[in-house]
Amino acid sequence: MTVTPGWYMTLAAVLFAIGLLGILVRRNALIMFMCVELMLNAVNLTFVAAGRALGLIDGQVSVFFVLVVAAAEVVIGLAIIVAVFRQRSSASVDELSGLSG
Amino acid sequence: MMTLAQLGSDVSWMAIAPELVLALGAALVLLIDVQFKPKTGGSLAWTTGFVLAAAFGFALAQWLRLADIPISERFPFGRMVIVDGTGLLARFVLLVVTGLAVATGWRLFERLGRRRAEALALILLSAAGFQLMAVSVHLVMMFMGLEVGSIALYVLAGITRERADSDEAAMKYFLLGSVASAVFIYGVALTFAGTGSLNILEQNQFLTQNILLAPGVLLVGLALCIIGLTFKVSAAPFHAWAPDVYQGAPAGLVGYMAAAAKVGAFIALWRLVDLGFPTMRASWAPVVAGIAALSMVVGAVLAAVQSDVRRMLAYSGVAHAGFILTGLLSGIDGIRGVWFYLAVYTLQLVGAFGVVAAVTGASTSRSAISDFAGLGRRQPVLAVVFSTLLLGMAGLPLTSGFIAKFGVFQDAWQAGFEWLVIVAVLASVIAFFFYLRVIVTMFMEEPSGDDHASVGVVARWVLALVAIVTVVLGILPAPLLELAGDAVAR
Amino acid sequence: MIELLPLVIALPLAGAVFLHFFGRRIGEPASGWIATLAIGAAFVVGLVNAVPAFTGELHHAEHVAIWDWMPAIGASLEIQWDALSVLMTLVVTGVGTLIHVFAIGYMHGDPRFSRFFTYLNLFAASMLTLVLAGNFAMLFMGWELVGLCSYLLISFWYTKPSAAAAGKKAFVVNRIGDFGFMVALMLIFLNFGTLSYGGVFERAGEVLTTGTAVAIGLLLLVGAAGKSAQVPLYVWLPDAMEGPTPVSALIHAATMVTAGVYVVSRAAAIFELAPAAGYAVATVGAVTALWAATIAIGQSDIKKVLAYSTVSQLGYMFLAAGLGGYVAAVFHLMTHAFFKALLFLGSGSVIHGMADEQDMRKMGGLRKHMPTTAATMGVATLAIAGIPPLAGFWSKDEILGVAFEGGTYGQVLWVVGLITAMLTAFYMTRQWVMVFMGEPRWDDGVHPHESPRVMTIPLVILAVLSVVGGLVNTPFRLGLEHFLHPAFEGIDLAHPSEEMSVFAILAAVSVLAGVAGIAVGYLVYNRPPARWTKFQEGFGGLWTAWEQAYRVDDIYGATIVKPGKRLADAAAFKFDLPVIDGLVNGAGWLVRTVGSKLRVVQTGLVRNYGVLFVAGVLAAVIWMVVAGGGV
Repeated sequence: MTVTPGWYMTLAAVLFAIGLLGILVRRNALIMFMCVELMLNAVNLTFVAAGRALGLIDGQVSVFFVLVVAAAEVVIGLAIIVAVFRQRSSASVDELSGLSG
Repeated sequence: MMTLAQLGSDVSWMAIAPELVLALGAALVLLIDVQFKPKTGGSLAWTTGFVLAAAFGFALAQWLRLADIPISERFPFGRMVIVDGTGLLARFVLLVVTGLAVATGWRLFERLGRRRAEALALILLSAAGFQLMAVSVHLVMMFMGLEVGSIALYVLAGITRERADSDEAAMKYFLLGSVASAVFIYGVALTFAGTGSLNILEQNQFLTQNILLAPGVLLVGLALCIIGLTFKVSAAPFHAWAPDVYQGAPAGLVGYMAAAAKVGAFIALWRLVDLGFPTMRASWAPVVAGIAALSMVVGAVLAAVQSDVRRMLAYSGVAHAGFILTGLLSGIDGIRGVWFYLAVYTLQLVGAFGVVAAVTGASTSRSAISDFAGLGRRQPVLAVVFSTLLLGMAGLPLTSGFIAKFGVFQDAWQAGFEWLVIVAVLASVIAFFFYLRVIVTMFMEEPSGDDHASVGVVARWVLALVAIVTVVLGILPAPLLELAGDAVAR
Repeated sequence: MIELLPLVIALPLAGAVFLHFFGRRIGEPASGWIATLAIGAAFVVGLVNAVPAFTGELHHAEHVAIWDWMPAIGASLEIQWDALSVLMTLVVTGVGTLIHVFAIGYMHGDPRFSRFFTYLNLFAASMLTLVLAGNFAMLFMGWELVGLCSYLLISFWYTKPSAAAAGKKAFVVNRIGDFGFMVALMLIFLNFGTLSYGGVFERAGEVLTTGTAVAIGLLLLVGAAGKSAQVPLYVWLPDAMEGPTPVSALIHAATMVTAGVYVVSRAAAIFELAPAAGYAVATVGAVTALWAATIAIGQSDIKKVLAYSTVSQLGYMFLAAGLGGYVAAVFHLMTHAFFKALLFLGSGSVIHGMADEQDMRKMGGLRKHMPTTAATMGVATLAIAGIPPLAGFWSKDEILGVAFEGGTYGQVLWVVGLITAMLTAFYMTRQWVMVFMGEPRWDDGVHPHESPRVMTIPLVILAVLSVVGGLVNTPFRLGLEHFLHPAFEGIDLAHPSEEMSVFAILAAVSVLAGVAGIAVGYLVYNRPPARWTKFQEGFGGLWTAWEQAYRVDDIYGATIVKPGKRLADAAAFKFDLPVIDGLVNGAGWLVRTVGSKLRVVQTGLVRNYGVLFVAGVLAAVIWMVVAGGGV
């Protein structure tokens, strides 16, 4: 039994789906944000697996870019979450429903 | 035609000069703020204006000698960036929109105090990001542009952080936006797996040379890419964030936030589907058409029941996204109509939010329609400008909006999407009434409560100019249409 | 010189703009003369440029681009200068100039004197835009503008409620026609991808299927019937007589109402592909001709007679155009412009002299007091009655000749036309005799007097034209036919028979009909009013029907307006409101209801937005994969 790149890609898809599901079911902004990170890492895994299978360096290189973006999002995301937490003493996104309709 | 591999891979600073100028300008704004600690925003305003003008100048210089640039130099940076008319036009629009947004929303920047430098820098950076997005033919590059632009917007949405609504808008925008970004980049990864390339042009080359037996992964990837981009343009059903964000974010910034993301994402979407995947047209066209139809209907119907002008404009933006997608469906020729639509609509959008900011305050959230009652008597200039812009958005003949709508409808009809055009016309009819309602409120109803409306001299002139342009382009669209036609040809 | 052509439109437009700003200061009569000068100069420019057309050098349509508006769809300001537009331009500016001069006298003392000439000049510019257009977009622009001027001028005396109502009625009825016209233009654009005449007419044969051609033809007919007051949309024209008489002469007799005939002739290439549409045009024309002629008989208002007569004569033109006799139609358009303008101006002169009295029963014996008016109107009456060699004879005979050659159906129409000719001769004689002959029946205090020179000179000029105007196209010398031929290149024109014997017999029959009409009219009405009544009673209820114009307004009111409304005063234009309002309100209600239901989805909760987003993602992905055959 050999582990083909397809397996990795399937795993990545599963991780991505878990991340997406997490967004739907969790209330805590921080956890939701971690789910986004999970999705981005699933993307990284896909890139690496595909790059490896195709014999192209592009896949691995792309991962760096995604990592950088993820880091930038972390900075901004945490800042926003902190700002919200200061206002409302809660990180639950369900509190944030003042705007609707 | 040379093969792609032969095309240049050298560095061309000129090709990304406008973006470099914007990024340096952002740094300059921050430096000036730190060094001189200006009390008023005057020096920062001038710096911003200068930076935008310089970026525009670089883009213009490139436009003027575009015909002389050989094809071998059209794809610098290892074929990541494309030098073409469409990209340059996108820059023109974005730079103009940015300038207008800063000018009309200046009240907000004044009120932000020392944070105004951050806000200006973020605006400049996000403009650079969306511009990069519009000129990239490499999907990771496109993603970088998207993120640079979007992350700046997340911050801008919450820049008045002492207000709860602003926080909420920022949080919603950030969470949903980053999910959409993840979806987009996952799509990129899957198309990479499917085609063996991240370059749009190479992907197209691969698809024309190979017959795919099992295009499943590629199709999923393409679908996810399209979804990621349609999210940014607030097309239904990926639009849910837009009304809340438009309402919650500071009024002086919403116009820019809405317009800039639309320009970048629509041009990128066009590049993706029409330059990269024309071979799979049969797969994506129905889906894009479905998104377009849903956007038009949902946008128009929901806009009709809003009592807040900003939410109304947000939903009408959803409908407009549908109209522009309609134009996108007509293939490579459709870009002319799409571009014209984008140009006139983003202009109107920024102008309209400029008026909203003037009427209900630049840093507030919520702008009830009733706040506009009697505006025709209190601020006749603003009322007339706003009416003109709304009628332009409604697509009344003799405004630029009519020419724009007519153009995309005609393209789509000829491309065989008759049913979509019929839906679009119905949506336009519905849309007409809710725009009209605001106008009626402004001119027919008595003012209620206090009068907060105030507008600076610069903003007043800029807004009047936007309204005049809307009318002039409605009567004399030929120059701009030719420009758009030129851009496609180059 | 052709570069100067835009001046033809620009001069009256400049006049209108100038008078709008300075008219009040300049006052009377200077502003009238300025307006006259503007349109007169336009006539001269047109005439100078018409020389190549007269000498036969204008083989192909010349184009003068003024402004490329949207070249991609063929919508631009572009003048097409061919024989047809030459003729129309000369008629509009020539007759228009005379009417302007007349109006200086007629509008004397009106407080809004200069405003009147502003509108008159604006109308001239619009009408010239219409006839000089080189594409359907510009045509449509002119089409709407003349309509606008028409409403402005009908309700010029807006303080009179009847004038305001008449303006509104004209507006609404014309909207129905315009709707057809617009749909026709849309169909043309969808089929050809352009609106320019060249692009449409030259390729009509390849592009259009018969079905599409018929559809476009019928829709154009709807538009033309609205503008040219044909059955069933003619009802606005008699009411339009509320406007000042020079307006009736210029807009509602000589020029604007002929726009429908012009459009049908212009679109000859389309109608040629659609014989069915052509027959529809001819039938509408014939029915209108007879229908309006009978109503004209029963009218006692001097202008109403002329109004129905105009409707009837326009029907003649439609009859000819529908059968392919475009030259005959345009020929009659021209001669009709002369004698009908003359009749209207003459009636204006009478009304002027009679202190605004319009009821012919209160006139009589005026020929001694207004000799010039009586003589010129007499000429026009003979001309419209078809007495040779006056203008009306030649053009009417050509139309009847075309009909006679048009197969069995054409011959049926010929009979209708002949009866109409007889009726026309009768009611026109009746009018002239009632006004100018017999004993005076004036109200006390009326002192009829001849109008000033400024009014009578245009009458005399028009009278001369009504006499000789027909000689341009006689069976002996087909001048107009040759002149117009380049404009109808490739069109299979219908002709009267070329055999002199046929012409002679047909001419004899129609002259006989005309003479009979004149004789009856003269014999009956040149007697005391008691004898008229006896004659009229001989027709029983029929005469009442004619007098009341078949009560069409009431019928429209009764059948179209919601039952329960007061029928008698419900005019046709009220119909739109309930229906359209209902539709609009219903649609609005639907949108609001659906909108409020959909709003619930927008809860403001991020997780709900997430669900919506993910659902969208799944739907799109699955759809795409299925559509792309990826499974």
